[in-house]
Parts: sequence; C-alpha cells; structure tokens
Amino acid sequence: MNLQWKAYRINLEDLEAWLTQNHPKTDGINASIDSFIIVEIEPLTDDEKNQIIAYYDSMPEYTDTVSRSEKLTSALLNYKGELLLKDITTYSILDKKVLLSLPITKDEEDQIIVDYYTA
Amino acid sequence: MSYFGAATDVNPFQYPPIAYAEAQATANTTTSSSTYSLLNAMTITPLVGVYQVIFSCSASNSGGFLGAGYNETFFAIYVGGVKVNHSERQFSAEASHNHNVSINCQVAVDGSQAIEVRWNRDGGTSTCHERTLTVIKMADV
Repeated sequence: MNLQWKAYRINLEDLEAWLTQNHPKTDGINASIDSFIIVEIEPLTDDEKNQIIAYYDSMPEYTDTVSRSEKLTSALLNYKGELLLKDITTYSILDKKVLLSLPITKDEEDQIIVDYYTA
Repeated sequence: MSYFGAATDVNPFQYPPIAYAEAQATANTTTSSSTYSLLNAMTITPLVGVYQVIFSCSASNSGGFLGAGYNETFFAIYVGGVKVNHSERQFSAEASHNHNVSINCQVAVDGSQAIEVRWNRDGGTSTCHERTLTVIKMADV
C-alpha cells in the first residue's frame, strides 16, 4: 500500500506501532525519498486501507529532531559512564543488565532515557 | 557446473563485457519490515542471458542495543521474484553502526525477469545508505 509523504515530518515509530497493534496484515514500512510503502503480508481491504489513510492523515507534525533510538544510545552511554563511578557491590539488576548488555524492557528503556538523556 | 558450455561462440572473458547495467542510489532508504521487499532503486531487467550480479551497500539498524538483543538485517538477490538462496547476506546491528554488505552470484534470466535486491530486518529500523547493483552478461542462455 503506497502513501504520499506529507509536507511535514511525522513520527514513523508511532505509525508503525499503531499498524502493529491494529493491522496484523501489515508488516512494517519501507520509506525512501520517493516512496512510502506499507508492507502487506496479506492484501488489505478497502476499509482497512481507509482506516490507515485516516490515521495517517490525522498524524501531527513531529517536531522532535532527535529520534528515540538516538536518545537511548546517548542515555546508555551516560548511564555506563555513571556505572564506572559506582561501587559494583551496590549495582541494581538494571545496572547489571546494562553493564552486560542484556535485554531490557521497553519500560526500562524509557526510564533510562528519562534519567540519563541530556539534550 | 559451467554456464558457458551452452554458448560456445561467446568468450565470457572478453572485455569490455557483452552487456553491462548498473543501478545506483545515494538517498537513504529505510525498512521496518520482516518481509523481504525491494531495496529502493535496486532493480534491473536485462536481456536474456547469464549474468554476474554484484551488489554492495552500507547499512545500519537503529535498535541493536539492549531492547531485544542484536537485530539482524538481511539482503538477497531475487530473480523473477524468486530468491537466490545462496545470495542471502546478513549483519547483526549494534546501535546504528554502519556495516558493509556485498553479494555476488550468477543468475540466468529470460529477458522478462527482474534482478532485484530485496531486504528485511527482524527488529528496529534498518537504513541503507549508498548502494550499487551491477549486472554483467557472461554468456547466452
């Protein structure tokens, strides 16, 4: 399914999350300067396409110039910098996960961004 | 296996090559899909023949840190919509680091089949930067 780029920036992560939750026949987005494609793993009905278009049309301008992944990368560096200064015997579970690069939850990622990201 | 046995009147080593085509792009393209789909601008439909296919690019993935382990990004050559299985390449991404990807393989086409590079990823958003797809005819079918 092809969409037209808007004249302003949108949050593609939000659109992707909405598609994942609401349209299981889709599988992500392929975006290039000259194309914007919602990948279909099963054909979408006209009604489903209209729902996607309506949501897309309702998306506001995305004014944040730093993506979530960039914020998380920066926050993790700051976090690890602080870990170097802490007594290892006082490490929390999250401290140990970050130190060992083990998987963390999205909520934990969000908290790290809040606590350690500095613009 | 020799692709040249059926084309005894063609010297596969002659230079310049019998036929040559190149697709190239510099603008970033992204995917958040786990379904193989066309890598923007990387498609060529050559005349019938046996072709050497060469592809290379730089690429990265946004989310390969702690969220769900390392994300994989996959590339493969498709001919007429069918994957050339041995052409599949992948890299494991860590925090938006760039990786080089290269593929080479020989394929036969009937004149109507597109030679494409397709890609997908298993997490995060993958971005492909500069990229080039080259096909060189080696022999008649």
